[in-house]
Amino acid sequence: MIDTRRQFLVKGSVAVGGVLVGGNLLAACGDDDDDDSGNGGGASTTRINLGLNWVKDADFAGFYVAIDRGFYADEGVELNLISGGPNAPESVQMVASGTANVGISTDLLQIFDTIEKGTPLVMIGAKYQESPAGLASLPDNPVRTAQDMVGKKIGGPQGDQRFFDAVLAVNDLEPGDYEFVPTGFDPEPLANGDVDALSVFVINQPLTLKRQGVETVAVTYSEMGLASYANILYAERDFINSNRDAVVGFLRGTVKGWEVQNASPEVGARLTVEEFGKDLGLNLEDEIEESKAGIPLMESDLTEEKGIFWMSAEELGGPMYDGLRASGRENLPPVDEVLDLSLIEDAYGGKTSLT
Amino acid sequence: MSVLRRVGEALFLLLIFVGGWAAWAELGDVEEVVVPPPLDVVDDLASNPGVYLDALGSTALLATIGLAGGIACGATMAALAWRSRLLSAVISPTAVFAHAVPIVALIPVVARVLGFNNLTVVVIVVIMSFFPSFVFIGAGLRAVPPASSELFAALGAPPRQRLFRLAIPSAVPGAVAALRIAATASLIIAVVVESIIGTAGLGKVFMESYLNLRLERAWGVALLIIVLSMTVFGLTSRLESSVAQRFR
Repeated sequence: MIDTRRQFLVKGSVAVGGVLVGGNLLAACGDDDDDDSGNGGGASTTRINLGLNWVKDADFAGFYVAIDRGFYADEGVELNLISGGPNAPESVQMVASGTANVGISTDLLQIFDTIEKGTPLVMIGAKYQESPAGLASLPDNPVRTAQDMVGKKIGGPQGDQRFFDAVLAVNDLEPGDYEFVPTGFDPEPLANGDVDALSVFVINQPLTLKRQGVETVAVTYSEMGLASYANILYAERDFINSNRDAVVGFLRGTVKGWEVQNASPEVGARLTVEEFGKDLGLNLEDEIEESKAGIPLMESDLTEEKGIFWMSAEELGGPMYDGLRASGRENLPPVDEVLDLSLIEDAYGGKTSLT
Repeated sequence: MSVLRRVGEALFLLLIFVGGWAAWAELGDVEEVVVPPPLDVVDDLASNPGVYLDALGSTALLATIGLAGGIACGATMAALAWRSRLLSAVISPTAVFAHAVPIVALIPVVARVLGFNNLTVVVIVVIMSFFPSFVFIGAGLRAVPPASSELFAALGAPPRQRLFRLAIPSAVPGAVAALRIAATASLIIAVVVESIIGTAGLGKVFMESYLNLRLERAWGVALLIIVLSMTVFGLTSRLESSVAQRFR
């Protein structure tokens, strides 16, 4: 039913466009696919534009380390980072528009919503095995479960309601059964008591509050029943097919960079503060602390067995798909259409560590 | 200058715009997650008028209250500055300072004090929209014709009469010019504030739909904001020219 209407709409608007700008119709018929812009570099170097989902803070420290140490250059890859952030396009839009070749997304919902709109994204690896996205609250009025959210004032940036609703739905509670307060990314409203709970990255704002002497209870959405990878690497199918070696090289460099970073977090934190994110006014100690806090979330039984950035088709197709369905995403594509593990497999080449 | 012709011109421009957009969205190499096809947008506008009208009503109300407050503030400050040199020396720098504070810096501060609610939206619209009234009405108050001013002085008119019978009429064209400038600005400011800390309105719906990749709705709201701004600008411009003729 919906399909038919969409087809009607598409045909209709093509007709309207064609009538009004007849010239463009013919010109656009010779439409060539220039998704393969990644081949633009030198003779043996492939340039990959990586669209980030946030400003260049220590959340991407491993990428900085890999660039700094030449791990990408060793693979014939020139990695160019495109900053994201509250006023930048979403990384899925950077990839869909061709501005970026590979993207990093904070959440699965965004990736599947983009796929549903007709952009064939394929996931190739994930930094966080458990998403650091979650809620922080004060110890005298804690939110630890989905049930605790009901009726509470929950703050966060506009749009984060999608996480709250998904957590409630996956726990058989009523989506929307809370009062949303649009507080942005600032953790102060929790300390001031303007909200009962705040949408946060558990490795970020709770640490900021702690430095100000405010203790918080932090819980991830995964712990509340909405399992999700985060900082997921993905690209369009066409780009992967025509630049396979470069994408494998990119993954190999990325894994090496993060192995170095996790072994000594101050290396990447220093690169963040002094070079890649030097305009952001970041503090070295804070970035080290955040980097250290993120390491446990990058590790799981799977990464223990196979290495970091691995993903599991069973996890994705099981609990994570359950969460997506509970939040109203019907008609999910088969897992092997949206997840390609052959690239990370080739990147590791049978090893479990690359450094 | 016939109304029919102007409507025709507007429709023609709209057709070119939508046609170009349709061609770009459907025939160019553009993904739906970047640019939604226009018919999806039209479809969403037509199928959910309630969503759009609620948001429109909320934004229009806040922008109007904020605008009225801004003009009242600007006019009062201009009158006080006109009345007393001492007050002028205090008010003028304060006004310039308030005007120079960037909106992004203002939003968190006001929200912290007044809460994340409609009052904050209105107060920020007032702060951001009083300045044209202050400047234009102030200029009008001081621009009374010298001959009339001498007449009032010769007849010994008290300051109150000078204000109401001489200076205020002289300031009306300036007030209307200020209205034209501040009206569209108030609308945009209300949208911006709503997008960050609003719980309703066009700005909030735009931001929420955009972040959830419901681009047909985000673009629908954007279209509505454009049409609304143009309408407000057209109406206030007309008011300004008819007032200018009458007060010439």
